[in-house]
Amino acid sequence: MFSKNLVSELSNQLNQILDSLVWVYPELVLAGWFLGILLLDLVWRNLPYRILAGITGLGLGLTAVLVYRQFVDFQPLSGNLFLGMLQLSPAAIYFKFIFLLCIACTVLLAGRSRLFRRTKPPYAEFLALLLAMGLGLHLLAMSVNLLMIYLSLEVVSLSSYILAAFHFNQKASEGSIKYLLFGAFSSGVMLYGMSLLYGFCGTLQITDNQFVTGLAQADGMAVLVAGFLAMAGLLFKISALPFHLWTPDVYQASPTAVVAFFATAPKIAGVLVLWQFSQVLGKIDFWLGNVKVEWTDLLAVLAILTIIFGNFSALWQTQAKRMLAYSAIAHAGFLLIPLVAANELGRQSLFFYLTVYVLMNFGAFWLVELMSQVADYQIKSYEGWGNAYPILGLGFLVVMIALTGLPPTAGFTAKLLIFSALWEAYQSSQNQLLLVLWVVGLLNTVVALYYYLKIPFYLFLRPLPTPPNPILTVRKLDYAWLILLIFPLIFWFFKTDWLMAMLKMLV
Amino acid sequence: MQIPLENILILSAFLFCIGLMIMITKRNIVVVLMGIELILNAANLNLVAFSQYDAEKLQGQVFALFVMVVAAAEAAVGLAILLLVYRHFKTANLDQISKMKG
Amino acid sequence: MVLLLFYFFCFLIVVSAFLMLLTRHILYAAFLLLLTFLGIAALYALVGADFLAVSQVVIYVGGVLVLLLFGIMLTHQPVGGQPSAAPQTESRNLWWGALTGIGFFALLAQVIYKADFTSKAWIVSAESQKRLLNNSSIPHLGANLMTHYLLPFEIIAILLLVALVGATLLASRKS
Repeated sequence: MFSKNLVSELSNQLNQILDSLVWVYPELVLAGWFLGILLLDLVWRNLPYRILAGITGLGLGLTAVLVYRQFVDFQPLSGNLFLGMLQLSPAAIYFKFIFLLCIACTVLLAGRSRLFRRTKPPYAEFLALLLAMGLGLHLLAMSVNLLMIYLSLEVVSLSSYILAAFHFNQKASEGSIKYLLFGAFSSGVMLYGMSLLYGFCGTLQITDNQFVTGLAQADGMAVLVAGFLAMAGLLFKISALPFHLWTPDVYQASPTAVVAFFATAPKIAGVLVLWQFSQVLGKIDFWLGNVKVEWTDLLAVLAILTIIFGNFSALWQTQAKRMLAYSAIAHAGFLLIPLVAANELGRQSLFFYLTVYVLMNFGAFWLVELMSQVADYQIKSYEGWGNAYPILGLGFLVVMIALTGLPPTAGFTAKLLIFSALWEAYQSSQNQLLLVLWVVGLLNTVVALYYYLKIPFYLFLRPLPTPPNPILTVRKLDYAWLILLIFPLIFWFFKTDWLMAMLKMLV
Repeated sequence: MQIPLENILILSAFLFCIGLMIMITKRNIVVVLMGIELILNAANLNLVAFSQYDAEKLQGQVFALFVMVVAAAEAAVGLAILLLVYRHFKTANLDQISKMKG
Repeated sequence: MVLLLFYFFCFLIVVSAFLMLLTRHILYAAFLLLLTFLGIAALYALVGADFLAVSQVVIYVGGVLVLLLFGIMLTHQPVGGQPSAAPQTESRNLWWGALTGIGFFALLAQVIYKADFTSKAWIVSAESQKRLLNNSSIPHLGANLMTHYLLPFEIIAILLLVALVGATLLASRKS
């Protein structure tokens, strides 16, 4: 049935695949640990969380070592894996570290969270799903093929739908079904867009030359529509408009540890793929009749809408997690700014922003979870606790200032960098839309001040309702973690170069 | 006799829009899931139609095959969550399961 | 002959999908979905994707649709103590929905005609070199799944396991 020629080609391909295998050891370990945890739970039921988390930590550590080896051994030639499915780049390796850090933080935060312990969720499944999600995220960061992007996004999504329901109560079921319906819808839309892109170029590989030329030769409006549809799943993951609707409900209903994870790792992966996408589509000028439209114009409009919507909806929130949800939407808008700028400084500033964003978010959610011992997530009930627990209050203050983007925190540096990248892009292109985005972004940072500082305001400037009958227990672990998360936020403000020097290497 | 490509694409666009309208207008979760299946099928139809011209690599057909598997997995998880919803709310109507506001 | 078959199945798909939108009965919708799936499977066979046609019948009709029917059965609450009442669905946002749907259809149709896919370079070259799909696609599909698509093939296994674990976990959980 097969000609001799084909057979020799097949053996050649199989050899290439075997060679690629060396570069996915971290992912193999994650997959193995995912299976291992499930098997372990089958054999010994009811293992305590401590032990399971320790085993997971071991796997994460091993993966981190392997990722580090990749970083050391990396050569540009080793990039193309599995016949063009994946492409390894220094940036992907760096963010694999960040994903592992996010998973580790999530595991710790889940162990610390009281509500999580009271409902006794199935721990093994929780950790296994987190590892599966980590696997999906690792692959997503390396994907350069539409099929791989879709599949790894689905691995992440399916695990998220299940994790979102992990309180198993009424609210969680509501949040989870909404998450699933919106998620399935946006991935369907993305798929439709991808099918059209495939029709334009005849290839699924976005780094392929055929892909770029195919898009460049096609009709401008058609590519613009197809490209926008193909972004849907990614916009959903980073909770940007118009695919943001799930965010507040899921953030409110799901366990805090899970939410902290949703707010960071999948978002980073989504932004990275979007960056890849816009690298390709940014090369093309679209002609709608006589008007020239660029891909970045579309992103700029989305960013403006997302920033405004997120910030102004956050103003009315009284519930801490819901407020953070809208803040996450606003930040999704800010994350789109470097993509709009699409220059070298934009790339570096994006990486800087993402790194800082992880720390800010885990800091914020860790503190919110600590306060939930006494405060039931309502911002009002934070009254006066800052005076009773100054370190906690100070932590809140630093994190909220960082989220707003004010000095002396790295949050300020991150915003400064993305805005200067955008300014640079405006200078070179004189596109008025970029100026509008720049102004909107700056003004909204001022608006954000109001709702972020509401929390420190209640913490410090209101008296503690006497007597404080519920007792807030803060362990050494909490302090250690808070310092580890918050110290870099201040440190990188003064020593921005230290981080930037490393990020500059990730070409 | 070749089937005109444009006709298949228009048919799939039609399926996509019907799926979209079902998702927007229908309130029963099972029916909304059916709408999602229609959207996925529309995309698959596109992929398979383009794949005729890609006879060696067959990228479209392979993609469609994977989409089918993912769709089945998604439906399974969707129904499991639906059962969870039904246990708490005693209804599968989307309008009646809104407890969170803001 | 092929064209005639094609238009027949097109007609089947269009009518059953449209009726799905109109009907209030969930069970009718499910059976109309069955017809749509079968029609699409027939189209796959017509454009040379024989393996996909079979998979469509096995996975969608045999798997997804049965799951949906189970979903209907398990979430159906008889209204007013009448167990025989057929499960129905309410509709909302009718105008809004119709507007979006028709608008989107107009947009997509315009995209398809403007893009003029039959003149795309890769399609033209495939047609001129007679590299079209005529025979069964199964040998190529199999070879591709084990070479180019080996990694996705492994990932899908993980995905299915995730779905399996998650679905059992959620459905069996007593709160």
